[in-house]
Amino acid sequence: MRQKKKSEFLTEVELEFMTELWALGQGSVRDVLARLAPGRNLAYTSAATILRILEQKGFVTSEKVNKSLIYKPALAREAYQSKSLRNLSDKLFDGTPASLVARLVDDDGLSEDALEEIRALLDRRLTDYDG
Amino acid sequence: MTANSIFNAYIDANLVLLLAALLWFAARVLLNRTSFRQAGLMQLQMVYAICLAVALAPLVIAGHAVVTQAGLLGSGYSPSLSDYALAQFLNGRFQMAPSEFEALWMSRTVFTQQVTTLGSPLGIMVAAVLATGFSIYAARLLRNALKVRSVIRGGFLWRSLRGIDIVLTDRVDVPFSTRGMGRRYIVLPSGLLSQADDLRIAIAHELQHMRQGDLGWEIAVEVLRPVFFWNPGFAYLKREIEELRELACDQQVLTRRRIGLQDYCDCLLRVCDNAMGRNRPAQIIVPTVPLVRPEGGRRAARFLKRRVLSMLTQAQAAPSRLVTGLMILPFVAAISFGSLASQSNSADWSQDRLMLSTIVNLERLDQRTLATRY
Repeated sequence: MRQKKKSEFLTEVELEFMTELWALGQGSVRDVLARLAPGRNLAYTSAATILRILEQKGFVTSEKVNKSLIYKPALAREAYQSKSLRNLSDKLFDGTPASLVARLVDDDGLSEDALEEIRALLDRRLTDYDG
Repeated sequence: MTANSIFNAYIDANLVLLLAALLWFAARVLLNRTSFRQAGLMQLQMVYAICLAVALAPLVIAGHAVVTQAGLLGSGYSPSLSDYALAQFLNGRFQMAPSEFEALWMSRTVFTQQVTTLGSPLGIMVAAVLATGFSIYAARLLRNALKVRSVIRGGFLWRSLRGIDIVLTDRVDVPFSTRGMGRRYIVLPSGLLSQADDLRIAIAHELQHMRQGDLGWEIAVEVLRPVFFWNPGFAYLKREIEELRELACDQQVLTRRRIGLQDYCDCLLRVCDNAMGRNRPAQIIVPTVPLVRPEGGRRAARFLKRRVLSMLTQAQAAPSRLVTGLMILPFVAAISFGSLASQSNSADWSQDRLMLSTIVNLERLDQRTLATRY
């Protein structure tokens, strides 16, 4: 397969596939298809193409096992989350992650529990940093 | 070939384009009153034929020159409007002071000289506007062409058949087709893979554009745009081509009856909605033939509505090739004649021109004599 300049971010459908692959660890086209919602109605060839696009973009690698291709994520979910957040912070919050967090905290949708979780995360991170 | 003759040819081309646009406008008004109102493909072929007649006008002019030189036409006959006006003046068909008529008659020659030699503020201004406009439109075309090439090269080659590459990419929201030197391309947003019906419709639509020869025309029109950027006739014909090719394409795809009307309309609206919803800084529009034009504004909305209405009211079968050919013939004849008529004053000093010059000199001599006497 010809390798192209790697695309940095995933489209909606690609993210859907990557989410399933991250959950599976690795899998064939059929494995991923089986995990999609029943009403999704996606053709096998389309699913195979999406996985090949992901491979071309460098998000997955493939290996031939018993005549079928097994796809494996080349990028961890957390790494992609960080990359997406960094992009969001750069584009929408002028490169200041503090504004992004402030927006999240200001948001009425955050429950007390969620805020507690964020506080605990920050405390842990600050402790690690001091240590 | 001098700058003067090139600029003269440029003026001729602009005049012929204006004539072609006027003819087509009149034809559209008449066609809208007939049963050919909905004949999208026929109307598209008529516009293409008109454009082809404009493009071939230099050949008509060259052919006429050869025939005249060979003596096959009477020496006194000239289709040039300019020469005709001179003959009418000399025959006393209208009254005007000879010097005034000469100034009017020579105005195009003077204007051409002013522009090509930058001999007056007006000449400098016109040359500057033309050069600036050309540079801006040419740079824009080059930038867009490079962007389209980059999208194709960076995309995923999904299928390749009979000289057509189908490429998937996440860099566009609207399917489009275009062509290179040897290959033709259908570029689809990769998100369409999860919408099987829309994928099928988009491919059918773009393949129909290829059958109609729209890709070559789109590229030719875009290449000529920097040259005729200011010409309202060119802009009008370009807009007509863009709209008619979509109407014709919609009709032809639906005529094949493999795609339902409801599905097709839904697909158009979905793709348009999808494209308008995103905030892409530079949506590629040219030189490509998209499924829908991802532009805002009333015109785009009005045209989308017209497309849907046209599909809903489509009824009668398309006219035959013979009918289309017969409809095209008068336009080709009128444009060919117009291209001969719009030519500037003949370079040689014809008998009429010598006569005009003599009359003007006599008028000046007369004025000088009167001035000396009193």
